[in-house]
Amino acid sequence: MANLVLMPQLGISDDSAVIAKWHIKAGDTVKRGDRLFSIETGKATFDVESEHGGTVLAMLAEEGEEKPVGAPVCAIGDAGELFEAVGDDGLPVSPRARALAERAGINPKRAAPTGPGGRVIERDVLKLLDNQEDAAFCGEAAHAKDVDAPLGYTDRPLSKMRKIIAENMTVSLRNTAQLTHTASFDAAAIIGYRKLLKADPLLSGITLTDMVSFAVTRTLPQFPELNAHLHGDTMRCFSDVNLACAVDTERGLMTPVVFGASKLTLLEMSKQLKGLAEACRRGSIASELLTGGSFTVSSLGQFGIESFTPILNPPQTGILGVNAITTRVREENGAIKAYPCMALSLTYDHRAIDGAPASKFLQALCRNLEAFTSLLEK
Amino acid sequence: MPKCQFVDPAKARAKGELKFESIPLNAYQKPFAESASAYSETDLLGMFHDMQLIREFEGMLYSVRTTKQYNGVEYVYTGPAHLYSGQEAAAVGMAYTLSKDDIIFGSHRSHGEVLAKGCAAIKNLDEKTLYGIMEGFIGGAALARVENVNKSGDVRDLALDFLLYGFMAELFGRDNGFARGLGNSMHVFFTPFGIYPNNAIVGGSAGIAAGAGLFKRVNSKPGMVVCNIGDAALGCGPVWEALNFAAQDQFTKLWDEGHNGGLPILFNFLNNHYGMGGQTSGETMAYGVLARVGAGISPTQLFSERIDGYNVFAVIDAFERKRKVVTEGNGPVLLDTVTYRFVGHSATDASTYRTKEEIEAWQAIDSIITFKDGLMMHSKCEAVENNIRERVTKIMKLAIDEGISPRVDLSRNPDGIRQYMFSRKTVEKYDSRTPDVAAPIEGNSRLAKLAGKSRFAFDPSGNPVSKIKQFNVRDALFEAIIGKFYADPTLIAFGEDNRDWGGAFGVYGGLTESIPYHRFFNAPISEGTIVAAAVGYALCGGRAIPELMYCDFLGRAGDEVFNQLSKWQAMSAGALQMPVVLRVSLGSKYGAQHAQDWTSLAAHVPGLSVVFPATPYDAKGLMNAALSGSDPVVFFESQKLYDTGELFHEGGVPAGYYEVAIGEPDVKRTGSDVTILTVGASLYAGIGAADLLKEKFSMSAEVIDARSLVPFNYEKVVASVKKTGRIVLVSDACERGAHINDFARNITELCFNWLDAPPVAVAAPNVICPCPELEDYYYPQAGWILDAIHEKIVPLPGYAAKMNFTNVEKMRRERLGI
Repeated sequence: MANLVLMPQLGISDDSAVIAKWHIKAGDTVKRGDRLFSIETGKATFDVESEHGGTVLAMLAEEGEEKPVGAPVCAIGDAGELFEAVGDDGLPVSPRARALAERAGINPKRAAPTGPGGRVIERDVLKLLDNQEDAAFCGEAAHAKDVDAPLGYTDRPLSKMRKIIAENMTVSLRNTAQLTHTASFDAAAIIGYRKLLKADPLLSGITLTDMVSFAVTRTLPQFPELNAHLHGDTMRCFSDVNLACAVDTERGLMTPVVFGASKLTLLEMSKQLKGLAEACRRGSIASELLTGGSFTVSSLGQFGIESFTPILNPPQTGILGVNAITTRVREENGAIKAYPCMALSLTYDHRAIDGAPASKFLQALCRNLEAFTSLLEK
Repeated sequence: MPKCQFVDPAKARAKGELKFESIPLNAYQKPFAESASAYSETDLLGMFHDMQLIREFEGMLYSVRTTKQYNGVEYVYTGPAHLYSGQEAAAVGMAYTLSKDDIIFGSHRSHGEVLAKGCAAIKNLDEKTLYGIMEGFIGGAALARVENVNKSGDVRDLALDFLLYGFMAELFGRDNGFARGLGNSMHVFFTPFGIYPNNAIVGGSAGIAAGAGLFKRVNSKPGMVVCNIGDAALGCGPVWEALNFAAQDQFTKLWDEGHNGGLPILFNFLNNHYGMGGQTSGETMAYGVLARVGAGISPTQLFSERIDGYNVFAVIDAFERKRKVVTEGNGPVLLDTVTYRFVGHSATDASTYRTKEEIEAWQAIDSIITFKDGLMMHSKCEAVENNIRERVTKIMKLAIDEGISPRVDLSRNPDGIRQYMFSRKTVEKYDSRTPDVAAPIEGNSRLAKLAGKSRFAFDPSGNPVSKIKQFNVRDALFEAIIGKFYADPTLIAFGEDNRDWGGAFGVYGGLTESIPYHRFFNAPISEGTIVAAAVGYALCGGRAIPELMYCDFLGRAGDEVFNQLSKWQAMSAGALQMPVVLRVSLGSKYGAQHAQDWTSLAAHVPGLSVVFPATPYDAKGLMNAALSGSDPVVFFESQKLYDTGELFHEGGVPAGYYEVAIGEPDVKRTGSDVTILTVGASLYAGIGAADLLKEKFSMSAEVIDARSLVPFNYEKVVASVKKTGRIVLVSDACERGAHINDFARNITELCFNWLDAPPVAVAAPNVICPCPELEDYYYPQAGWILDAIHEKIVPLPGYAAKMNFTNVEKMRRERLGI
């Protein structure tokens, strides 16, 4: 069977890409892993490697040509083999995949096809649904100027990116039973520890959000319903925490994933989060690192937000919002005393977990953060 | 191959001379007056009446067909009109001699025989029976119509109106017709009057009549069978098969006392000298004189004679003499009944192949005019003529009246025809008498052997039982069939090498010791008549298991399976049942003409149930179900599987009686990733593929064994496809037109929104089956199923397909027709 090489999807918002350079020509013999071509997405340039060995049977795009994501750009197979051409727009979607996508309210053409001849099949849509969290976090800095609008307003068609976000947000709110609890804790322990770390050049990069994320990875394993994906009648509980973390970039929010986060030390986690954030900002993040999270942490504390309701990324069942640190007072042995207070806003899917256990998670997380040094020892 | 008869080489090689008896030609030469003197005036006027009725009836049909009116009554008739005009004396002479126990079969040109035999039955039956028959036909609906126009109070007169009405309503396609208007001109019949199906396939009645004769012989029923077919039917191979089948030596030499003797059949060749436009003697046939043929069939020469079908007395004389031959157990008999048709083959035939002089010469000796002149009772004859014309006009008006005689309303009742395709009765036995058997079933040696076999392929600890000790498909079929032989006294089984050999593949081994010759016998290598005889046997009220040794021989029985076995239930609008289980064995290892799966051909033709079990449990259960029904079942068996033990049914094959419902597929293995629907022996390729998918790709396949092709309940398959979203269909039939493509299309329609890929058919390629060493390139293998999944449904990681299932290759093959 000849294999069609399709234009890959790099960013969640990319609908097309330009073939910047071909590294092969028709008739060449290629092996798995050989560079086939480079593409430009406007954010970055990437090399695409061959997943198949064989002879290049045909080139279906020219250098400089823009092709939709999923369109065939070349064919690789046995020398002389005939293959079936697929048009750029004709990317087929199986009826089952289409029906599933319709039920979930998403566009199946956004799925990366793995069926024969580039057909989107059910599993591709399921994967796309798994990746919803990324799309849900994608924002877009589309700030068109409309000052001269004669009637006081202008009609501005939504960008594709905005449409995707709108779709994902609506799906999340329509298809889940989400609600938010907020609790706060005494942040003195983590602030104190942060001060200690600052003194060490090796450890100075560790942030408060890193520490909250670390605490999340240590608390979640006791609450499997929150480290899970809910698919219809099935809850997929993950044995490890694959922590998605919202990163603000100039193109909008992205959510790279730290896989196996509960096994990482604080320093390792901090380094990974930093590396991922940089890759996102550079535009060189690998697309497979943008999907597969089991729980998400999103911080708006840096904007002084004291409480908010993060929106779930289905099929994930929980997302934690990290708020700003404020000063509060409390009674201590009859005296009024000020202390640094951080609020955490947990949005959870009530279909997956009830209010009491969700609150217990939040409570446990707060206690772990208040006794952060003990947590590090565990 | 009975051992009691020694094939002596000395005798076979001895010098000598074969002598034939001379064959009489028109021996009856009595003058009219002398002939007539033996009959009463009533009888003679009756003969005239019946002949004139045929002439008038056909005149009416000719008139509406060509001038759109009859006797001032307008009607447009566009159907067939193969008229009897000219041949009346032959029909009336025959019918005059027939009793109520005698039955006739006919051809496309049999209106005259229907009317003549109908009139004879009306004369022969007592009034109470006659009235009962009319009352019993479609709940008295037809009778009520004629009673409205006949107040004579004379039952026989009423019955004549009834006969004409049932016949005409059938001709004109009305719901009150003898076959609810679904049969038409060429298929008119009415069994309560002894008129059995007329056949629109030339010579089609010959083999069926042989089966009817067999029914009378086996079940000791009185009366004889008359097969009315034309001279040109002798150009058809199946007619020669039927003549030989009916005259087999074994009936007199080997069948047991009390049931032996030649079959009581009179093959009446109505020799009108033309087969459509082909002149038989002189152009298209070699016999010169048709009567010669009898001498080539058997030492009795079939008591063959040429008789003058233009002389009603000559016909009566011949039939009376031949009845004696048949009654004495010396049948069958062949008659070359000379006659002539005045009109063309059909209404569109301009008779360009014969001269005006020839037609006029025969018209000059018109049997009716000759008869009328001979009678010298002109005024009485004219009264008869007028009466007939009046009657035909009256009944015609009744039959064409849309209000009185509507057609089957297929708008309001869309199942108006579908309801007759199958009779769907459960009939344990077709007669209540004690079955004729040679010994009690308990003493059967094969059954005793089977008692020691393991009815499941694995022992209680899960280890496979040795092949020789497994109760297999062959045993399962035997167990079902022998059981039925002891339950239904009418059951007979026959085919090539059935008796001492035990069937070419051993299914019948051990049956000979229990079942006497007349219920279980070897047939000549005449596949057409093997099936046709079963059809005739069943039409008369018995149950039969004919066998085709190889599916590839189905072509030899094409007309009999596709036009006869499948159609008579519906063409009788439910009046007839067809309890025939046609066993067909699918070969392998024997190359292109002995290894084909033609199940799809059988499935294509409406009116047949088609089953193909692949396990002993299903083989026994489906055979039991087939043998307890009233419908024709084409029962396919695979020679690849006769030795196969039971691998699936928990607890093995029950020793007691049970049925597997025809039309219900069976989930042989449950799974969730892909459905594999198999037909027949390809079940095992499907299971092999499921094993490979599980082992190498962690995919779980659901394997469904179709078990039946027609009817087919899609529920389980639909549920499975809704679950998996994917289906591969597997069959050993050649891909083009394979029934699995029909399944695939229906599944696409029924499950479209659940499909993750198109249903994919994996079948034998559109080539000949090669030698056994190359069969793995012909019959679908487990690997092909993986190839198809990989190429068309979901790529299997790291898999390299061996066969080319790509769409590009498909286009190329289709373009080349391979």
